[in-house]
Amino acid sequence: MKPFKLLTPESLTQALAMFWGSEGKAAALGGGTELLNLIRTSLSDPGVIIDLKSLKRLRGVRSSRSGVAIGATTQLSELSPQCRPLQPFAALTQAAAAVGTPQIRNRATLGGNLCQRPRCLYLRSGFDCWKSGGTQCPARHGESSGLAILGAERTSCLAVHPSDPAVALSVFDTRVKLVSASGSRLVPLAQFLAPHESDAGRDTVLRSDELVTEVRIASPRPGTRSAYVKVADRAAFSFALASAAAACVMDRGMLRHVRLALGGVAGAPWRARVAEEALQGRKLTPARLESAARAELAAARHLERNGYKVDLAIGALQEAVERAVGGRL
Amino acid sequence: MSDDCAEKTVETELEIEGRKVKVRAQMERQLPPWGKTTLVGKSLRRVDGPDKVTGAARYTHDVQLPGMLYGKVLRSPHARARVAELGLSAAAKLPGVLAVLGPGDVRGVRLGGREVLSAEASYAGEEIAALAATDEETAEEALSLIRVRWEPLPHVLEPEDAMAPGAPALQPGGNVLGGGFGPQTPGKPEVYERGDAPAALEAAEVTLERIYETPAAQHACLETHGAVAAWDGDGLTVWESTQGVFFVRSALCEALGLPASRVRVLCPFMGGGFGSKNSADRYTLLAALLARRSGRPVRMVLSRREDFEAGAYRPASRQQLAIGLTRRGRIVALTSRAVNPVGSALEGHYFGSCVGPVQDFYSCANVRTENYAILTSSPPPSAFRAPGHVQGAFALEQLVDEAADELGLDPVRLRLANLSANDPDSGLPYASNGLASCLRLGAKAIGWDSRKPPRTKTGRFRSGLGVAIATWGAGGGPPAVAQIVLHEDGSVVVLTGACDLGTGTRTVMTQIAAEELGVAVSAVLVANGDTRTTPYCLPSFGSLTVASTGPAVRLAAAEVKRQLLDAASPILGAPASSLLVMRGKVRHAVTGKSVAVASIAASLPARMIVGTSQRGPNPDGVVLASFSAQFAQVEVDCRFGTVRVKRFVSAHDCGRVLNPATWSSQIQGGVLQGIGYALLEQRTRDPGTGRQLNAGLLDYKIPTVLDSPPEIEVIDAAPPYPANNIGAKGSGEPPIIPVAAAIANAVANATGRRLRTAPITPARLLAALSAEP
Repeated sequence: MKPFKLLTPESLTQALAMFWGSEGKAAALGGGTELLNLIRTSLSDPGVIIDLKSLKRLRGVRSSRSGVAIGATTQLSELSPQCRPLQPFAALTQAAAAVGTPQIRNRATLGGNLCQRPRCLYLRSGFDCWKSGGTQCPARHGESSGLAILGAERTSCLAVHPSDPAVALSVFDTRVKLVSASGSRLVPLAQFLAPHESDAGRDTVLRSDELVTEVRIASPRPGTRSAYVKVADRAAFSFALASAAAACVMDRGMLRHVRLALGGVAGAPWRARVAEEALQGRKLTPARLESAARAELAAARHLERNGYKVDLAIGALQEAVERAVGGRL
Repeated sequence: MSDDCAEKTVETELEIEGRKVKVRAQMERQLPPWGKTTLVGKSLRRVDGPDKVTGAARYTHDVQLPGMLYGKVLRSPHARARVAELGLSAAAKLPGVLAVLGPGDVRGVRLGGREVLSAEASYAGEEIAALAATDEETAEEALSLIRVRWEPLPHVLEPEDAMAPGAPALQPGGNVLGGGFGPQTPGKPEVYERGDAPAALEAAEVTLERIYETPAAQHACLETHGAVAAWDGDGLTVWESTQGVFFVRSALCEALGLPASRVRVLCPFMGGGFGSKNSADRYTLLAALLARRSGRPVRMVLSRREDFEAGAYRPASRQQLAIGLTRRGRIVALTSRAVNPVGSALEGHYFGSCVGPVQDFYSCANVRTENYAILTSSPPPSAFRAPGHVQGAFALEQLVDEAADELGLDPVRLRLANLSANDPDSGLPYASNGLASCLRLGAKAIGWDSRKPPRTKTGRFRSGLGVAIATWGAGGGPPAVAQIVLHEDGSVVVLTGACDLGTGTRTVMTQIAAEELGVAVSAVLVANGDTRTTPYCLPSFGSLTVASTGPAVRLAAAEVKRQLLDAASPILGAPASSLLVMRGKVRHAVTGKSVAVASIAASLPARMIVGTSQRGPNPDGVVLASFSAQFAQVEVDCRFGTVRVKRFVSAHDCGRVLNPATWSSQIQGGVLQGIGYALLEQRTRDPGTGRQLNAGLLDYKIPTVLDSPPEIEVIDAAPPYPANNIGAKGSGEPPIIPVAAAIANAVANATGRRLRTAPITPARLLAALSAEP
């Protein structure tokens, strides 16, 4: 591990000034469960690390009239069903509980979770690739079992987004607050996780002088029930092979409103708009649900070893809706 | 021990990791079997438990010496390449770097026939250069300053490619070898034959032929491989995380030209070996060489990534099996053609064998196996808990189930009908054999009678039951020496060279010594794993530690007791034969008159009693084996292709169980490791470059506690075992052998689909479920 300077700001203003002054060489430290891995494997070489853990303003869950605001350094273990303001967002608490291990959830932060680099085996094993600053994807014709099946024809990097919470947040109106010394902006989550394709090495639109300070989720429509489903080979300490989140409003057997997202299948959480359209405003039946899920995955394109993800994603979508609506299917 | 005994030596046979070897052994004093025991057979708490949980136990990773340097290794990124130029000077000039070694600096220093640093890399991860610096960060920076000009050479990763005409020859004799320890004929497999299997297959009423595949699996020891080396003049001290300090010592002596008296190897505590730490490795020698060059102690502990990349794995296999049976279910023929990729070094072929189960699980007159070891541009494999048998059992024990399905017979009954009273290979009787009891008791415990055929199962979640068995040579044997010292205050030290892999060796030896001597457990200390102070034994491998060192410890205790009673005889005014030792006192059996052990020892001219004994020969004319039958209940989620092991029953014949708590733990650990092998684990590499892609505990998936069934029930089904003085056989390896097959059989019972490739991943299971049955 290369040496670095550790700074511990006492206020957000001071932290932002530190970022401003570090000329793009600083990294933000939340729980460290990702940053330390990146440094150890030489994927990151920050001269300066700015520890945000002591900034109380960045931590905790607050209700507001329009929804809930979660501080960026809030630990995943704090996003629990016992946290009253999060009770309308069951998919999020379920996704937070599905991350890693208890030890990781006690350290890792929501902001850090959204800023993770891909867990692609090639990137993490030191191969030259798009995400490490290169101009090729060694995984495409290699060990492709973890790669994306949706939207991959539009991206050079085929790694899937690793976050569980990001998938759950995608079925709510979620915005990420980014702050720099020169101001702040609120960016919708999907936009936050979609840097321009010409910038293949990056994972978010976060600028080097910016900090994620907050995740804001708008209150869902009354009666919304949500769920998150994760499929993994190992029962813990595994990223999703496929996952799905659903937020539904049911009314006398009718799906009045539905939002669906898939994880583990694309470079960012995948809004399942085709399936949403097939289900919205209709009576929810098992057959309709299955055909909606299949319709969503009709666009999937797979490589030599990742075709199994199609079936997993179809199953995960069905299961997320089934769990969200409880016994009413 | 009488004098005539001490002089007489005989030849005896022992089986280590499925390999039978002949050794000389000294005849031993015959001790009667224990009658009622007070300590042996009880779940004594681990004697070193408090030291382990408080951190007082010092592992190799914990060793810190004054002035110690940190060693690092430069490894090849290429699967096969020549080092055309090696620029070490920039690294050597970095402040804090005290020693740098390239292949030219250590020419002629060899380990297992290979140079300790290679000028031609034959796998990705191979050691090319090494250096030592005052701290880890400086050492890492120095590594990045080493300049290498590589000349890549053609490599070959898959055995089919390595066997193909025109494949680059990785060794002068070609890439095709015979697997196992048998004699080699270049280009030919190792062949085993009894009866006439091809003819018997041809004539059989029912035949099945199937192909099974298993992955390369890695040990993932909690303590990564590592050593700390320090020189004192021309003497060398090495702390090594090892299963066998004496094997490490002999490797160091041979490579460095040192006498055994000048090399001290220590391993008081170690964090897991599973067969991957049987001797010294390159890092051990590099630590010693860097320490000699720098004049400072050197710590060479592999990072988790290196621990995976540098090798040590169970080789993959592709096994083509055939079975012939009568309609009533009598097995009349078995054949196996096995292909085992074994890395780039010639010695790899030792571990390229997986045909043992086909030879020795069932009574069958006609057996033929062909065993190929194929050289590939991969790291060297190593022993891994029941090497060969784990792969072989996955194939054979599924094939037997498939045959039972074909014949419409119950798999437990089919197995019971084909068990062999004698060792199928030699025809000699087993010294004891509880396999049938294992099957019966295990079947009862899992509720086998409730097993239903797959066609009755519908819906998303389907439950299934599966069984598989194992036979494993686990009788132990010489050489194993033990020494016991009774001190003037009555306290006792047991000295044994045996390394405790975490299985409870220290605890069990305490029980044996205290039982035989008649003293309290608290009076006994076991000191172990030190070539200077503790006596010789084999490494803790081959399930042999308890059955080898245990009898030696009992003999040494008996010898100390003999001397103690002789000394007590005049004090109590009674013949030694009328005295016994109980609760720290020597007591007259009839009068009850007693004297404390401590006061006898203090009255002796030497102020101490020393007893030294060695393990005697194994009995002739019998075969020593442990047995197990395992039962899995799984639930398959057909939507996601995932398998949950809901219940697991592991029934064993390991002879006498000395400590039920440590014994159960060892078996449960083996079952968990087997669950990983069945469902999760595989060494994954880039098919182009051969570089490992999952060299870490996140992506190399060993099971977590949530992957374990709520309970792994362990059953003792052992008949009495007369072949050594403690009545115990080995139990280290049998618990992993049948696991994967039992799970695969349970999956087949749940779904009607055969998963013949391990691990059974969601991708494979979904594909099988969507295919025609």
